[in-house]
Amino acid sequence: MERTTTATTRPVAVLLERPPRQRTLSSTVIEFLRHSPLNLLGVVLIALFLFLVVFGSVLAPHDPIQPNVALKLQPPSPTYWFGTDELGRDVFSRVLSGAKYSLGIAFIILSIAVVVGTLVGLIAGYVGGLVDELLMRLTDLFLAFPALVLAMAIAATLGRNLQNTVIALTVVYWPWYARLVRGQVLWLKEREFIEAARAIGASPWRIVGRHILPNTLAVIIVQLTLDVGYAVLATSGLSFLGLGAQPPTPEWGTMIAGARTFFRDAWWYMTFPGLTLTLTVLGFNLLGDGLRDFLDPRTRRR
Amino acid sequence: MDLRRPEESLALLLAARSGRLTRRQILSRGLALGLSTPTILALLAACSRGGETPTAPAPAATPQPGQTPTGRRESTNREFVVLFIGGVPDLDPQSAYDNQASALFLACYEMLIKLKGESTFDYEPMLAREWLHNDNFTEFTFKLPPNAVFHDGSPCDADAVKRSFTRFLKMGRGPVNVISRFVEDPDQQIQVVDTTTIKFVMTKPQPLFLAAMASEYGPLIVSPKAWDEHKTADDEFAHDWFSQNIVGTGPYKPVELLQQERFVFERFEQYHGERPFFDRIIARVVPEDATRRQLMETGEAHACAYINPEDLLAMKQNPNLQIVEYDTTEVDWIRMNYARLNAKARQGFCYAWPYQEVIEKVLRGYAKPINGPIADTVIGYDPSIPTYTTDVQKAKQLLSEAGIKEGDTFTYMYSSGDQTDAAMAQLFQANLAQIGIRLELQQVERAALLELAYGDTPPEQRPHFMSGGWWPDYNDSWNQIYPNYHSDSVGSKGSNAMFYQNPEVDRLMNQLKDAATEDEIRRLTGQIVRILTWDDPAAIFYAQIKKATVLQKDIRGYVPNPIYINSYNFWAMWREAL
Amino acid sequence: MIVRLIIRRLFFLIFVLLGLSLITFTLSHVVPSDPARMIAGPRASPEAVEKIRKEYGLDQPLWRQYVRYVSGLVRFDFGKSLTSRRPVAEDLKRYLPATIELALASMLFAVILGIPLGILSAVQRNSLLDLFGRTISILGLSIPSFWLALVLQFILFAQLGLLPDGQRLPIGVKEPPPVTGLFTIDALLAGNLPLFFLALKHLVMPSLVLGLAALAIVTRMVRSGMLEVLGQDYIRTARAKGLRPSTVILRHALKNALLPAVTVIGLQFGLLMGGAVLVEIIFSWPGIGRYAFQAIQNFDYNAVISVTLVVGAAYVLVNLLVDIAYVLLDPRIRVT
Repeated sequence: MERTTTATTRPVAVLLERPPRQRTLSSTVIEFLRHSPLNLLGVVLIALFLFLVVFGSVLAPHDPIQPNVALKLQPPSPTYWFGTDELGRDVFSRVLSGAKYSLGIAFIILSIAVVVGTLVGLIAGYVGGLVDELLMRLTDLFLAFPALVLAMAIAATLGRNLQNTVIALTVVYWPWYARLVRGQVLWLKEREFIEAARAIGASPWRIVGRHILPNTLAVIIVQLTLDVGYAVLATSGLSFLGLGAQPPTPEWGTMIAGARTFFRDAWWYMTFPGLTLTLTVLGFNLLGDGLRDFLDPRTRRR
Repeated sequence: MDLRRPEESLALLLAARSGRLTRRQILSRGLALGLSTPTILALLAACSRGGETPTAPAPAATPQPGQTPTGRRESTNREFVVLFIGGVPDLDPQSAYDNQASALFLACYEMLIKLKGESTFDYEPMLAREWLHNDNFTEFTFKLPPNAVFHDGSPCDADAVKRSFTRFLKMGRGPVNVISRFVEDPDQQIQVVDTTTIKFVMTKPQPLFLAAMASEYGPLIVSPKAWDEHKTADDEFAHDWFSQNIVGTGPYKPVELLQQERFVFERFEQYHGERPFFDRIIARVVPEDATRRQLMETGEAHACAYINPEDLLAMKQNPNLQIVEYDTTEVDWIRMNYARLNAKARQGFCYAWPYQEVIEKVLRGYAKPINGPIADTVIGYDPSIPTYTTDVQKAKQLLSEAGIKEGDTFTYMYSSGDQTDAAMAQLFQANLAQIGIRLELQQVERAALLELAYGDTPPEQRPHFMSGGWWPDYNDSWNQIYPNYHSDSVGSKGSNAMFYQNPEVDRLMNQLKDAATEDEIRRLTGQIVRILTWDDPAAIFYAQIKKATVLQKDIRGYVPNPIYINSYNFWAMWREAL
Repeated sequence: MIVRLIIRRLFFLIFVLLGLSLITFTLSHVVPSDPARMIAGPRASPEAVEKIRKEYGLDQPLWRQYVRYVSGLVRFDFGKSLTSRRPVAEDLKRYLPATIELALASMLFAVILGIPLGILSAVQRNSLLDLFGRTISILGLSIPSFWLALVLQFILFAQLGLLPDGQRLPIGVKEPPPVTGLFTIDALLAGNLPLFFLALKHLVMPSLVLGLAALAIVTRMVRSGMLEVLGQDYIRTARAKGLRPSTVILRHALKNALLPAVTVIGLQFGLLMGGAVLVEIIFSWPGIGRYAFQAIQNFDYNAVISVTLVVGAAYVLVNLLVDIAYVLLDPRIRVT
């Protein structure tokens, strides 16, 4: 799935009415949750799926990998809540175990993308000049690649597996963070407290670490929550095509691909992984939207 | 004497002696009973008639142009849409060895003769109007119609037929063995008698020659004019061009050939023979099982030979469809890479395959277990050879003896389009996972699998396992085994995709080719099969297949032929106005 | 000033294209173990592979191969496709219009539905309509396109028979005489109304699925743009002066609200080109996304790499056009 929007166009710090340190984290969170019921829903969904990423396999009532063909394509029942697939495996167990692939992989991708992007953005923004220009052109270059097509090219040459999916999608996502962080850095550079820090002779690292990074964190987090949804859709899309996760991995996209043949007579097989995917992405989108609205004083004041 | 059906053989012998049967009848019944060449020759000799016997068939009731055969209420819809399971990468009929290609070829190319109805030994005219042979099957003469032309307008005379066969035999690709077994020297053995008469001369008696000439793989007539026009220094047989284009003598000519999408044919007005019913034939490539089923159920497609067993069972309830099932001589197997796996490893893997589950749960009874590459209705089948059973522990033992350790990874390639392939691959994967072996599944598009199988990539660059299947071009064990497991058939020269090369098998095969008695055929085939299955396994032989073709209920005249599997007898099919 | 912008952007375009070509070159010539075999295909004999090696200069030093590669690209020589046996450039020309038609239709759907929805959503904040609009928005971005496509295909084709299962036209129907390559437009140009509707019918499901994400974005952009503008002082002044609300909206708010939407629309188009892959595959839509996917399935690396390059280049080009349009629309804005 292509990313279709960025976070706020203005540095977030200017929108906060006070420097971030003066409010407690918990009060902010509570206010956020009370701001809109959708925010609460988003957080609940995310918590649920993050929980599954870690504990999904443990909670699965049946073996998600081992086939048992005698039980193939059975409708949902008290034993098999989501029914069984064409090899007799419990769909519910597979959905639970699949979270760590569909969602976990997305996190890995974004973690790497954030680290790389932040580094590049920090350097570009702080150092400025030619270095900045060069790095930004590099960013633009990578921004030119539509995710799915590049991932296909990488799968074709390097092979079809989840590792290569990670490589492909990381390449696609890191430029956004570079741009974002650079923008923040550029803006913050001119603020008084940075000037003051420089005046007293603080080292660049200290300035970056104590002043710039914390302020850009909010922007990164908002962007991150919005991106998780896209990353999950991209990962599952690639697995659906057979270019990412390979059987018998219970990745949700792979399951939907396998379910396609049997949709006519086994609606449960395709429906539940699809719904789970939708809900996962929905949760992150709701959170991302909510955070953005929350941090933007225009929508908050009303 | 045929041990399986001794009464019938005896009856045949008596009938032959009494002169009640024509030589043709003796030959066809003898072959149908599975008798060997020498036995048939003996029967024919026992027949009181002698000398050359014309075996011209009774002329088929040909309706006059414009006149509907009586009793038929024909629909005005003269378009026929069939569904394919994947792309067709090679349209050269003298090189392609895949059954979707041959289904197309039956519409636009012709052999000299074709099988009649569901018989595997009765023939009817295709390109040839008449044919005859001498008593001892060393000379076969075919008479061509005077007005046969190719789609490019060039005449199809005896000279063109000879040139076409010469190309076929000299190019040496794919199905060449179908005819090269009998004709080793086309220049000498194929003789042009006059413009409409061509004679094939054998070096020894070959009663199976006619059966081979009716095969839909190989002996199809291509236009020598097109060959001359498109040959190049690098490609003296214009194979590249013919793999993309069609110029034959058949009743349909190509209009659109998009190898990954569809093939559209329209009636060829200058066709020399009887006008078939349909004006247009369209073959549409639909790799998804579910979509094929949907298209059949909505009526957009009219026929499909590739519906998986789960869907078949559901579609049987549908009153708008007819499902024609037929037993076949097809055996499906998983080839094992001879260059990358040693004999013990291959034996081990044979024990790891989930035989029972695949037959019962995946193929849902559209298959039965088999003990080797020979189906139980083919001459040479030996019921005393045991079948494998799944024994994962034994597999583990053999594999470790073969030097394979836990955690080793192997590649298994199969094609998309048929979910049963995917299901059995995963079951095999699960069995191997139990003993710590990793199986990496590679699902590729059907055309890609064919390209790899029939290409010349060295075996070290091929996967460890490749799914496949085969049936003979005529009821003969040599024909079933030679293209798949003889060392001469590797790469593009046949269908030996995993480069099996066992000198003992080669030696026995060469003997089998010239076997003189029935007993010899059985004995040799049994020995070969034992090696192919047990001593030096070539593949995991997991099923003998029963096929089914799904048609709209208004399609008439379709007759499944156990040799022309997955094909359509376009010349006899029509649509009724309901 | 705009000339300077265009020149700067053109330089940038060239830089990006070179960078793209470097990446695709690496993927096709450096990474694989045997690039010659990759180009020749699995069917070719070892002799044929060696011939390819000589022909493409694959035994030469890398930099020389790269120069060769780029000079080929400049002449639009993308090599030969294994599956179609034609030059890839020809294949791309053949399949590109289908993707463009799909992208345009999706965009139209998103815009025609999205703009009014966004406006109404903003004007009647927190109403039922607003809630509906926002739900569509968020769902549109959350539902996996391939899943939605399958579900719709099942309901609208297999169960209800309302729409075709895929492709651009029913099988056997003749394409309209090629002018633009977009069947709908070409059918209209040829005056063939039934054909136009047939092509349109085939376009409905794929563009609906593909356009849903775009619809979501457009709706949100328009809504937030409208909200921002509506809250501003000069609007309140206009209302205080007694202007009718609709006039207020249409004359003042809309123009400013639409500006960010325009950029998004432009960006969307580029993204749709690349993101159409899944939809094209499920609906058997013969565009370049599907072509690229089939190329992978058939070990046709030339084709895959070339599509990557072309789509990347197209995206950059569209971005450039959008930037120019943006500046033209609002000269106050400086695009860095």
